[in-house]
Amino acid sequence: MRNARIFWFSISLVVGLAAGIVYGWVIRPLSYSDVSPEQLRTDYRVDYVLMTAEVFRQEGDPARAAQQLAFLGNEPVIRYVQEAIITGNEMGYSRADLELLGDLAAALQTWMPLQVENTP
Amino acid sequence: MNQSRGPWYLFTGLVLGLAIGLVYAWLLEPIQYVDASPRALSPSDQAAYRNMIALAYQANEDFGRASARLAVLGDQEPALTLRRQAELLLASGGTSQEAQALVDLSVVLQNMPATLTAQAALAAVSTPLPTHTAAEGTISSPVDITQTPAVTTPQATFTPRPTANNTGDQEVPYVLLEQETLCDEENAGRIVVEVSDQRGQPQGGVPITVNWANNGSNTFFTGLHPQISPGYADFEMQPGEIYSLRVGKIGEVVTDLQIQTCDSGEPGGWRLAFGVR
Repeated sequence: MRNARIFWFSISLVVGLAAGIVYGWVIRPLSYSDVSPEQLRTDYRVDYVLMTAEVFRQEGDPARAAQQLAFLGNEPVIRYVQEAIITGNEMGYSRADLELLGDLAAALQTWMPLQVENTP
Repeated sequence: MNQSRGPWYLFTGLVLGLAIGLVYAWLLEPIQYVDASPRALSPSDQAAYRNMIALAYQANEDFGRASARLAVLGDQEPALTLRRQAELLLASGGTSQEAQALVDLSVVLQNMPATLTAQAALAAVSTPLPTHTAAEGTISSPVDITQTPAVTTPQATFTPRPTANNTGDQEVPYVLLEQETLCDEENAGRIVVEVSDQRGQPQGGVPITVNWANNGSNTFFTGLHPQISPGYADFEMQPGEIYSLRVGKIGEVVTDLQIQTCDSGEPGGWRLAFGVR
């Protein structure tokens, strides 16, 4: 009798656990808000890099561009630009936009070593 | 005695399991979203994204592209949101260049025909950037988005109004056309500025700089109160402080502005009208 009670208690515990997980993941997951920029869909991330490149073309300030790109996450900022060039190319971005991205990548590549040298 | 407990132990197990399951699903391993839209960002990240859109617009003056980008943020009233963000940015000590960019885009959005902004937004929604590949032959890019409104709308000859490009407005030599004391209760202690362009039309997005003693300074913009006028801006004076005010970068400077005492003994303000001769 006691073993039977333990068995059915375990079954009810597992059923409750499964129901809780289904409820928390499927029926009412945490709200779809306050996601981090790292979780943005690829095209939005690429477009953000393109915006940075557009601003960079006007301002010519790689430090500010790097600061703006840091919004996307903790990766080295040059990586975001390189990914944007590859993805933008696959998505059929215009030559002008790809050139903007290329200019930004080139500027960041020459700018970043200077920052490293300046670091004690 | 055991018989009287009945099946309550099953209920206890169920509730306990449910609680553990919820803790696991909501706290320990909450669902992770991927491929999110910018509208799912936190408010501060949305502000940063919006700021970038405005700066990009300032750089390329491509309204279609800016409008499509704003559409993905899902703001109910994008122009109003941009203005509020500019106000918040200035209040929190942000750069006037970024605030200017936000105001510029806000002013342009206000001046655009609703059909154009709607079509640009629709283009952004109906041609999502990411999910297509060149191999599928359904390539989309920001270029596609920006060109769509021009192709599909009968107003293909759309040209941004002069207020769209306010970087030039800063170089306009605005002069003081009218100055009068305001003695109504609503404007007590307030400097009200009205800026108009060469045609006498209210001019939005024009920076106004106010200076006072001990290097005090503040820059704000016309167009933040479109319900009054696109060329309207105001500033609250502090008792005992004397201000000077300039419109744009090279406009006429008005000095000795301070809270007036009206005939009624109540504090009064100033109304300053600037224009181009």
